[in-house]
Formats: sequence, structure tokens, C-alpha cells
Amino acid sequence: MIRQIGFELYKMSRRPRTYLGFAAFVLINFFVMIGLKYGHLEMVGTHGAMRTGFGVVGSPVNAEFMSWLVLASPLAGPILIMFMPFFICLVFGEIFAGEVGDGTLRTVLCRPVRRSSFFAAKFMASLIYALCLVGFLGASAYVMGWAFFGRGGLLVGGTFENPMIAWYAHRPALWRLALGYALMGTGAVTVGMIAFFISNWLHNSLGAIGGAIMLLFTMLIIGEIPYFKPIKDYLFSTHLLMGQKAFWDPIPWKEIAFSIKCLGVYVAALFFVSLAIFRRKDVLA
Amino acid sequence: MAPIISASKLTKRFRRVLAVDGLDLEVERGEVFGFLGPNGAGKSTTLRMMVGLIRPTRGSVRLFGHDVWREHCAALRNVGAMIESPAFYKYLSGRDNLRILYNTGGNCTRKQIDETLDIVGLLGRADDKVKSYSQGMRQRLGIGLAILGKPDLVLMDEPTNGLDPQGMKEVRDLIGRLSRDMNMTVFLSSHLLHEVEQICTRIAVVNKGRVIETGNVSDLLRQSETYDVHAHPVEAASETILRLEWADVEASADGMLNVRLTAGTPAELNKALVEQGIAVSALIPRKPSLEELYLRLMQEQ
Repeated sequence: MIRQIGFELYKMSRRPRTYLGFAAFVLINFFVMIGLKYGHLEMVGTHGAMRTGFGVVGSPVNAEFMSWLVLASPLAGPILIMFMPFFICLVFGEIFAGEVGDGTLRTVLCRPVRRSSFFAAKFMASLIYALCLVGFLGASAYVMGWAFFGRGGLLVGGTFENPMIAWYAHRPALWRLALGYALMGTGAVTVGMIAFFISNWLHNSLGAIGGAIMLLFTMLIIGEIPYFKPIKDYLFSTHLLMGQKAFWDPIPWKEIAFSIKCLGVYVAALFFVSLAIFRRKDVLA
Repeated sequence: MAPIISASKLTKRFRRVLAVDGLDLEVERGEVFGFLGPNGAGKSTTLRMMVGLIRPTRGSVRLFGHDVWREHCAALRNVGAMIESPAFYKYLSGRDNLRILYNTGGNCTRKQIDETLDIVGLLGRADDKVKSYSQGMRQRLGIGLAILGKPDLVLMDEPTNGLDPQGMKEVRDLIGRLSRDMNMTVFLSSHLLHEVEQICTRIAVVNKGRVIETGNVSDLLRQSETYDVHAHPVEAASETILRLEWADVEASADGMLNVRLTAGTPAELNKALVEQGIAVSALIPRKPSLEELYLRLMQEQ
């Protein structure tokens, strides 16, 4: 099983599309950095909150702030809702559909390999990729922030539902960032699982990517319609931004636990349904 | 000794289409078995069921005594297969493809991979990406994957597709060597009847999902042997033969009769004609090619 995961990761590592997400995040971080370096905080949506009521002496911009900026600030919205799902789906959506399209699934399944362990290896490899991509987003922001601005504490702005300004010292800031990215990873894996499921079912990587993104946007829209408010908490899209809650004070552990449970159910259900389909399916391509 | 391949009442239905219809088949160790049939006869579906890619609707196929669908790993442990056109990861090298595809369910060393690449003539291009390979090279890599690890049974679907005449001859020789020198059993599905006739010891002909003929190639050809009879007067000879219960006139032209013997011997035929005062000037055995046998079977269907 571990060897199979290794093979899957090796195959993944040899495909250019695997690196698109990493390259995009380096670019995003780089331009944010340039903007902050030469444009100061004007470009950040938090400036409104910071300008009224009190002033900041010295610069709050540092490695920690940069990592927070791409995770929990208003700037993070497009990253979490568009970029991250897209790049995750690009790999998750390809994982079965690509093998079916190339005919390699036929070649692999002629070997004495259990379908369930092959499936699980693909899932684990995808999971590792998703966590690496999320980790890379945070780490690259942190490293670039460190290189440009140095390290220090973390000044955070709140969100619309929880307006606040908070200052965390260096060590608490680091573990809150780690928690935030871990929660972001859970959301990313959930969106990826949808692409994984469609990929296994549809045998078409474009369909899997498009289908997962379309479902995500549909859920986001449904979540904003008052009529559907009773089910909003059970839509996976509602919990994609839960990483922001890692910076609330106090941390809403109950809400976070509910979000994790909710996304966990999605991931488990998609995993087992996909596995059941995969174990019984006829490989005709 | 138990057969290496044993298909029993093997059936596959795709919604309204009955692709394989209660197929029974047995292949013994050491045979080079040819699996023939027209397009859509159910050959590929049968092969896919043999390696567990398709689940039978009814019946089962066993390899080395293990049910392929229920005991997939045990059944395929000593099996190499090339099903339809070989498919590889185009972005990986030939060597990496063999390493990853074989070791997904097996264990082979770099030395074994290189030996196999040498056998199929790809050692010099082992580190090139498969996307730079020609169709023939991919075909040879597919054969390489099928024989890597020296399996006891090799299943091949149209192994000479895309190969030039030289390559086709090399593959024919290789298949002969697999059986002769390495004691492998080879199950070969092919359209190339000339190729099958040259290398297979036994065949099965399928049509509409059923086996319509099976047996040793030489026996089947002998059974289908006819005799060109040059006799005078030819009309009297024809009438005499038609009266015999064990002979039949297949065709007649230019004072010559083409006769099939269902039971008797050529000597008995000659005696029967001579006793009727018919002069027999020649009785020439005519062994049909596998192609002729195949076409006759299809016409009878």
C-alpha cells in the first residue's frame, strides 16, 4: 500500500499540472508582497478597520501577517473559493479520469492488485497533494514575508460576521496560523473529493474539474438564499472559510468541531460511494 | 492436471447486447492457444473477463484454479497480459513504466526490467519518455510488460498490431520461444490467421459470443482436408461419390472433383470409383489453410 502511494506520488510529481497550483501561489504571494512593500496597507481590505479608532505604531506587516493575509483576510476569499479549489480539482479530477482516458487503468488492473488498495493509494496520494498545496501556500507566504519584512507578532482584522482587531504574540500567532491552514486543508480536501468522485464516475477529467467547481459555486449560491438557511450549515461550501475562525478570540472550538464533522461526513461518504463504484465497475476503455 | 484457464458458462450482457453467451473454454499448461473470431464476436470482452477488468454477468473464469473476479490477486499472480493496444504513462520513461506498472502488484528488480527491455529491443530507449515512442515501440513495451517476471501464463490481444513485417516476425519468434524455452502458456487473440496458424498449437473460434470450433490446429486442418479427384467420366464419378455416405463433393470444375471425406480413407474412395469402372488418374490431398477453415466456419454460421 505504501509503495503504491509512492508510485502515485511519483506519477503526480512527473506531471506539469501538479505544479500549476504551487507556481500560482508563489506568484500571488509575490505580488501581494510587492504591493505591501511599496503600497503599504492601502491595498489590504483591513485598512478601513485600522484607520478608525486607533493607530498602529510601526509596521504590522511581517511573515505572520503575510501568512494570515492569504488565509483569513478579505484577500483570501478568491484564493479559498476559486484558486485553491481549482488547483486541487485539477489533480483530484485527473486521478481516475486521466488513467481511464490514457487506458492505463486497464494496464494497471490487469496486474494482481486489489482495486480497493489501488483506490485507497490514489486517495492518499491526492490527500498528500492537497495538504502539501495548502501548506505550501502558507509556508511560501511566511518565507517570503520573512525575507521582505522579517518576523514578529500578528495583527489581524476580523470578518464581517465577527468584526475585531487582535494582536497575537509571535508564538501564539504561529500555532493559530498552523490551525488555520489545517482547517483550510480540510476544506480543500472536501472540494477535491467531489472532483475525485466525479472523476471515478465520469471518466473525464475536464468534466470532473468543471463539475466540482460548478457544484461548489452552486452550493455557495444556495447558501446565500434565505429560503435555504436551515440547510446552510450542512453545505460543505459554508465551512470552506472556517480557517478564519482560528484567529478569533476566543477560538470557537464548538463551531470548528461542527465544521470538521460536517466536512468529514462529506469526505467519508464520497470516499465510500466512490470505492463501491470503483470496485464493481467494468473497465471498458 | 487442472487446466490453466477454465471458463465455464461465461456470459456478459451489456444492457441489451449479449457480448459473450455461455462460453466454455479450457487451456492446458504449455499450449499456445489461438482465440479467433470476427469483430464483435466477444473476444476482447472474454479477455477482459479473464483478467478481471469486466465482471461476468453469469458463469466464471478461473486462472490456475482461482476465480478471477473473487480471487483477483491469486488468479493473476503468475499472469502477464496485454489487453488491446498497450497503454502507458506517456510522461514517464519506458523503464519507469515497467517498474511502476509491474510493481503495482508484483516485485521486480532493475536487472529483470533491463533484461526484458533487451528482449523486446528497447533497452537503448529505456530512459526516453513513452510519448516519444512509435506505435511499434509501444507495442513491444506492452509485450515486455506482459512477459516481465517470467509469468506462467501470458494473455495477448493482437500483439503484432502496429508492427512492421520484421517486428511481426520477431514477435512470432518470441511467442514461440516463450512456450518452447520458458514453458509459458500463451493465450493469443488475433485476426492474423496466418500468424495463428504458424504459432498456435490449439485454437478456439468464437462467433456471437460462443465457441463454434475448438481443437488442435493440425487436427482441425486435417479434418477439413479435401481431395482433388481427376476421374473419367467425371459425371459418373460424381454420382458414385454422392451415393457414398462417407464422402461429399464440395465442388467440381474442369473435369476435377473436390471431395471431402467424412469417414472413409482416400484408398477406399479410389476403390469405390474403380469398382464402378471409373478411371482415376489422380487423387491429390488438399490441406486447407487456417484462413480457409475459418472462412468456412463463418459461412456455416
